[in-house]
Amino acid sequence: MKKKHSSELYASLGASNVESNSGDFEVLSLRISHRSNAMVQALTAAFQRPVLTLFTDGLSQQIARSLLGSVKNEPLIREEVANGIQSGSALDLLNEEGAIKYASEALRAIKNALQTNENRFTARR
Amino acid sequence: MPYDINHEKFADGPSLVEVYQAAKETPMPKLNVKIRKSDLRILDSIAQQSGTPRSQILNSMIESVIGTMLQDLFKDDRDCAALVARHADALMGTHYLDAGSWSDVLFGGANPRLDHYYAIELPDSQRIGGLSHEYQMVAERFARANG
Repeated sequence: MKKKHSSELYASLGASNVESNSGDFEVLSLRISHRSNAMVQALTAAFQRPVLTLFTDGLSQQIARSLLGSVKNEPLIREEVANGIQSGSALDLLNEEGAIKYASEALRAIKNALQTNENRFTARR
Repeated sequence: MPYDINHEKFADGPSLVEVYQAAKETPMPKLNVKIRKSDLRILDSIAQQSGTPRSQILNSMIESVIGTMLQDLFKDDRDCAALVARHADALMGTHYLDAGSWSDVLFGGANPRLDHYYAIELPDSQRIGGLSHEYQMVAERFARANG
């Protein structure tokens, strides 16, 4: 489905944000420039989003974009695909884009079935 | 041959020595980020194969993500994006019209668009009530954050 807004942050204004399941995530601590930090503070104040998850989706999108930058990234993709495709991850985005495809139609059907069940389960909660 | 310095041509900012002295004295701020394990494994693999520290790769990615966030916001609501950029500039102690400010980056580098926006377009929008509800919401949040 096409997004109404280019900015997910902008779309989140006035909407409630659902914290995603933290089981498949890791928290890293970084040192960033004062300049970037100022923008992080401005974005968190403007959109009242927790700093911790502000970049989670953006990073997945950035990694996906970067991977698409060269066909020579194929070994990186193949290596990670072996672990399965985590929902919302860079590989998941590449899969949605059609940049990577399930070799087997049977596997695709299983994945779709699981996805449908997951959506039903989420909708009921 | 002696030269005179034309002080009118210079802005009233900190000297370059002061800027880098301050940067050296103030430790880099810490940022905690939550990242998907799959994405992290990819970054680890890049780090391992390239010999570049993972933190450096992640920092570079975060910089790109921030830039993308701001540009996406600009596409949706230019005034709102300008407001956020200006707030970040204020937090950084940089004047929004200065080269290298977030506002400057947002409006595509040193060019008359930034001046024109703040001199004419924004006041016009304010006068005719053309600013979005979202802009007002963000402006109120900044006002509250400023105390």
